Amino acid sequence: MLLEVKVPKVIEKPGIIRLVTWYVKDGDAVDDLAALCILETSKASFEIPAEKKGFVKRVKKEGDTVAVGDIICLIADSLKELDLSR
Amino acid sequence: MEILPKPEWLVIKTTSEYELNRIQSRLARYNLNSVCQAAQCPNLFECWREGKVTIMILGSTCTRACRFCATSSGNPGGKVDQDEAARVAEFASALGLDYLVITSVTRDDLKDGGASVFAQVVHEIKSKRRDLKVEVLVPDFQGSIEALQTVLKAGPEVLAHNLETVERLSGRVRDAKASYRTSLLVLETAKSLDPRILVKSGLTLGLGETENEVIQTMTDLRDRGVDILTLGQYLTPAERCLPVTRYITPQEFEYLQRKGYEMGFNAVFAGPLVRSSYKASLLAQTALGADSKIKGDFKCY
Repeated sequence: MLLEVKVPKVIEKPGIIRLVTWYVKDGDAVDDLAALCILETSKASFEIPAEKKGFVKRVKKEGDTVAVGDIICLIADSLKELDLSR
Repeated sequence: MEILPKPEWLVIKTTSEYELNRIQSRLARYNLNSVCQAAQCPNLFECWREGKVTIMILGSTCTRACRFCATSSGNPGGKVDQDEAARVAEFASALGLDYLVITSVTRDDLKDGGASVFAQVVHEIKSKRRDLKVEVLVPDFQGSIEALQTVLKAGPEVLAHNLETVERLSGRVRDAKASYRTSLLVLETAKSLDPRILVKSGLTLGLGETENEVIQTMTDLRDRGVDILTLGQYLTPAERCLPVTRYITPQEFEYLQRKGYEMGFNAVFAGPLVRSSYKASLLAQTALGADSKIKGDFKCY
């Protein structure tokens, strides 16, 4: 099943949120809880984990400004599923 | 304004939102505010995952506008939610908490600064769960002894009031109605009114203070009978707030923590991500000597 990884809602009233670093590339295999990327607000940097094992497709790119609830990337169970999502 | 790049020790590991639902859904159900969200606390993910939360009572609008804080400021016009105390007690019971920190926005619009509401919350909690320990993190009540008495009579285990910064920077960092001397007076008065209570305070570093000023401030706090001290890194919560002048290294925090113990504080927690209520239960236990092994052995990040 395709999982949408989103900017967490609990980062409330953050002002500007920027995706500053990706740790993974499109098609990379990740384990559950592996670090995917870093989001930065004026207050802190947040490392976003994979919520399941699978293959990654990035939706946002480094330097993008994102909002709470935005999809950052997708995690699919297989490369085939990832391909179908394009 | 120059924005300093964040050092690696300030990267926070988040967690799945599902794990935070236990707290989030109950906050919504009981219509309560948490300071964790209002202050955009970087430890929210860790604390909520462990079922720890700090409740912010008396609304979400503060009558002061400190330049380190992201809380909305304005005039709530004397409005008080009469049922809030009961809901806080129900929330604490529902979550099965054994320690709860209660704080508030500053309410200069209320005659007693909200002291009676703090007292009511403590009473409600204790009437439901006698064994639940309560820490109140209070505003300065404009130095009112009467207000402090009201809160202390309700029987919280810990009374905290944050001094926030060194004396030289106090006027620039805090609202004009706050003062270094008033805050010291609040802490000293609390200890003298109830010597059995644990008195706690906190400083935020990285606002332009020198090491000597920090040591002097720690000395001032200890001289007033403060038992528990927290020291953490200031992080700019919003663009309108003061910039970080310097990131204090974990090693510097370790040094200050050691120094604090040498000065005689019963519990000191210093580290980049340490906040006033972070691991509050553990700090109180340490101060009471309930777990002597923890004393002086907190890990900095």
